[in-house]
Amino acid sequence: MSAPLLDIRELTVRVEGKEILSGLSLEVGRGEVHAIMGPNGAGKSTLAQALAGRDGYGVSAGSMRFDGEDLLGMSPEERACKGLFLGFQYPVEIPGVSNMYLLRSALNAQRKAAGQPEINAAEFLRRARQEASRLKLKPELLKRGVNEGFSGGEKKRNEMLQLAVLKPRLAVLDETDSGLDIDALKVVASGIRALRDGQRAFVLITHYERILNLVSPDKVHVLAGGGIARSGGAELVQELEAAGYETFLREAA
Amino acid sequence: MTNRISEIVVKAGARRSEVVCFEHRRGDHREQRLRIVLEPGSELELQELHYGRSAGELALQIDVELAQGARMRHAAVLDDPGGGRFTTERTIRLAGQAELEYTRLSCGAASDREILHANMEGRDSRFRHGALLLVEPGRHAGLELEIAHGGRRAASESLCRCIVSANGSGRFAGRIRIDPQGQGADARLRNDNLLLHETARMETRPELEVYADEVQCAHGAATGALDEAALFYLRTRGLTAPQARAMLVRAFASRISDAINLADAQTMAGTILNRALRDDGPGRLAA
Ligand SMILES: Nc1ncnc2c1ncn2[C@@H]1O[C@H](COP(=O)(O)OP(=O)(O)OP(=O)(O)O)[C@@H](O)[C@H]1O
Ligand SMILES: [Mg+2]
Repeated sequence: MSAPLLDIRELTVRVEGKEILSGLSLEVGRGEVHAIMGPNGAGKSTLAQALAGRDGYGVSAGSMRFDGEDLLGMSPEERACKGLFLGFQYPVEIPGVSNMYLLRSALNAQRKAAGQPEINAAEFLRRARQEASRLKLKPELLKRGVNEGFSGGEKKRNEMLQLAVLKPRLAVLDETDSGLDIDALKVVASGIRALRDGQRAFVLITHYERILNLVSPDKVHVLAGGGIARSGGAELVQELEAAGYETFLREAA
Repeated sequence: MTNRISEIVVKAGARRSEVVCFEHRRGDHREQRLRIVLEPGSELELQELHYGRSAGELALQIDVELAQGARMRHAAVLDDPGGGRFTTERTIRLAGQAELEYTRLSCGAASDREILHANMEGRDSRFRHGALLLVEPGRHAGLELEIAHGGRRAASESLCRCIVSANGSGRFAGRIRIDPQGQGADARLRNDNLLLHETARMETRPELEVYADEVQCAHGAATGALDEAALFYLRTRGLTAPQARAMLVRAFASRISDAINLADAQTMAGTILNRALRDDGPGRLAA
C-alpha cells in the first residue's frame, strides 16, 4: 500500500509561546474526504495554517508529510506548488491586486514549478470565467482587488474559484462553508464532488452538518484538547449534533 | 551655474499638449525656472520629465497659474540614479472653476524634495494631487505641501504615498488651510507610507487649519510594513516571497501610478516600477 497523501504524526504547534496542538496525528489517504469539527478555539485553523507553512506557527515536535515528502522544510509556495491548497477561514483583502491577475499569477507560478509553460491568456480567461459562472461569482468581482469589499459569502466563493482553477491534490478548506447561502453551499459541494477523482483529497474544517450531508465525508474527526479526540464515520456528525462537545472538553480538561 | 527660464503660455480657449524635459547632468549646479500660464478657458496636458544622473545641487522653481475655467492635467516623473540633491519649489494658483490634476512620481537622486504651495483662490476650483515617492536604499525624499482654500466651494484631494527602502528616509509635511473666505471647502489630505525594511524611516505630519465653519475636511496618515497576512496568502497560492512582495508594493503604488496616464510619462513610470520591482531578481525596492 502506498503512503497516505497527508501524514501528520504527533504534531505539536506553538503560537506566541502557547501550545495549541499537542501531539496531533492525522492520516488522509488519496481520494478521501475528511471532516474536522471541534469547538471554537480548539486549534483547527492553527492546524490548517501550520500545514500551509505560516511563519510563527512553530512546529516544536512531530512531523507532517505530504505525498511522502517532509513539509517542515518547505516554504508556503513550495507546499502550494506540490499541490497543497488552503482555503482561508478569513480570506485576506488585497486592494490593488486584481483578482484575475492573482489567479493567473498563481496558476503560472505553479505551472512553472511543474516545468510547464505559462498558460495561454485567452485559454486562462475562458477557464476562469467558466469556473466563476459555475460558482455564481459576479464577473465584476474578477476585476476587483482580491477580496476587496467582497461580502463574506463572496470571499468564500472566491476561495472556491481559486481551488477550481488551481486544482490542488489536497485542499484544506477552513470553514469555507460558513457564511455561504444554501445555493452557494450546493455549488461548493458539487465542486468538491466534481474534483473527487480518486486521487484528490479534501479536509473540510466545519461547524455544520449541512455541507457534510452534501459531500459525505469518509471520516469525521473531532479536534479538541490539542489533538484528534475522536474519529469516526459520518454517523459521528449526528452524535455531535445531539450531544455537543461537552464530553470532549471534559476529557481534555 | 546655469540659469534658465522657460515659459508656457496657453492662450484663452486654446488646447495644448506639451512635454518638458529636464536632463540632470553630472557636475551640474543650476537653477531653473518654468512658468506655466493657462489663460481663461484654456486646456493643457503637460508632461514634465526629469532624467539623467545628477550630482551637486539642482533647484527648480515652477509656477503654475490657471485662469478662470482653465483645465490642466500634469504628470511629472523623475528618474535619477545619481547622487545629486534636487529641490523643486512649485506654486500653483487656481482661479474660479479652474481644474488641475497633478501627479508626480519620483525615484532617485540622493535627495528629492518638493515644496508645493497651492492657492485655491477661485470659487469652485478643483485640485487633485497625487505623489508617489520611491525611496531607494540610503536615499531621501520629501514633500512639503500646503493647500490653501481661499475661494468658496473649492475642492482639493491630495494623496501622497512613500515607499521607503533600507536606510532610506521619507518626510511628509502637509497642511490644508481653509481661510475665512473658503466656505464650503471640501478638502482631503492623506499620506500613506510603506516601510520595506526595519531601517527605513518616515516622518509624517498632516495638518489641518480651519478658519471657516462650513467645511468638509479629512486628513490622515498611516505608516507600516507590508501586510504579513497578505504576503502569506499570496505565497499559499504559489507565489515566491519576492513575487508576493513585488505584487503588494506595486499594488500600493498603483493608486497613484495609475493616474500617470499621459504617454511618455506613463512609459517612464512603467520603466521605473518594473526596474524597482523586478521579481525575478534583485529588484531595488522589493528585494
Ligand atoms: N496569533 C495568535 N496569538 C495568540 N493566540 C493565538 C493566535 N492564533 C491563534 N491563537 C489561539 O489559538 C487557539 C486556537 O485558535 P484557532 O484559530 O486555531 O481555533 P479554531 O479551532 O480554528 O476556532 P474557530 O472554530 O473559532 O475557528 C485559540 O485559543 C486562539 O486564541
Ligand atoms: Mg478557525
